[in-house]
Amino acid sequence: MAYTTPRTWVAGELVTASMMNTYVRDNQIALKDPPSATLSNWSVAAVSTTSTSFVLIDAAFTGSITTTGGRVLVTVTGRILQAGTGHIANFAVLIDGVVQGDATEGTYRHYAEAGSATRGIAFTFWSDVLSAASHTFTIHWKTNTGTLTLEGLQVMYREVS
Amino acid sequence: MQEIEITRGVVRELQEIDTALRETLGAVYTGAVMNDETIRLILADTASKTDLAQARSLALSEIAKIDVKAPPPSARARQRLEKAHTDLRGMDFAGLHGRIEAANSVQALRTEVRTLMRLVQQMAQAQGLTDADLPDDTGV
Repeated sequence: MAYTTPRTWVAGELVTASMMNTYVRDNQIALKDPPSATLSNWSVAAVSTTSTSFVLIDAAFTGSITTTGGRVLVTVTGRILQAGTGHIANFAVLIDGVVQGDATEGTYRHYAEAGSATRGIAFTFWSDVLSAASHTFTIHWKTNTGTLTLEGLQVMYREVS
Repeated sequence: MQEIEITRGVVRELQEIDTALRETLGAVYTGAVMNDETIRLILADTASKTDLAQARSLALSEIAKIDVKAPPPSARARQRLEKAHTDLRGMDFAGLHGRIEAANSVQALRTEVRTLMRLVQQMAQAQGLTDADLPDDTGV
């Protein structure tokens, strides 16, 4: 349901059913259920990479939503396993195939201070204003060395304007 | 980026194929991504059709070599780490110092230098700085 800019009501104006449906009902529906996609892999096996360039984590975390001209909030949470000290995990949000933020560092960077361990990660990204259209969101990742493993990933893309 | 998708098969960890691909293909190979069913080999935009074919062939060849009865690379790394911890805890520093002081030939000194090399390597392993072993020709 599309959101419509609220009407400026005029004194003495006749309020019709159509107006109520457009400016009250439809806008409430639109605000309650904004364009969004939530993708989780709580139960599937871990995904791992050795890629030193940003690469798609998995097509299962690709979200396509039709926005209405606002910004999109991206939230990512999961667990990563880094195999040794100095290993760096980078994550990037891509919108319509374009890396957001720094092209080298991406949106989120985690440096392993000591040894092999599983660590929680969580980050958010707030997009620029996007055109009212269908947009594709993906999460890419890379490591500087060794194997980077990811499990329990949840990703949400939601227009919040 | 260009991608080739192959079936995961018996691959338990990407390191089982990644090292050979990186050594053979060099910079055109940037790594791989593995989920529960497939492995995607990632190559640079500049990779030729020959590179792509070589990557696929090499990956399949490495998969065929995997001994599923042997521990995977991460388990072997853990074993090396545990051995390093054990050895370091039992290290006789005073004895090593005494042997170095008493060494009166190049051969005797070489033996103690090898012991020191092993010590440094195990300390680096224990700190998570390396998984690499010393080359066999060090004789330690």
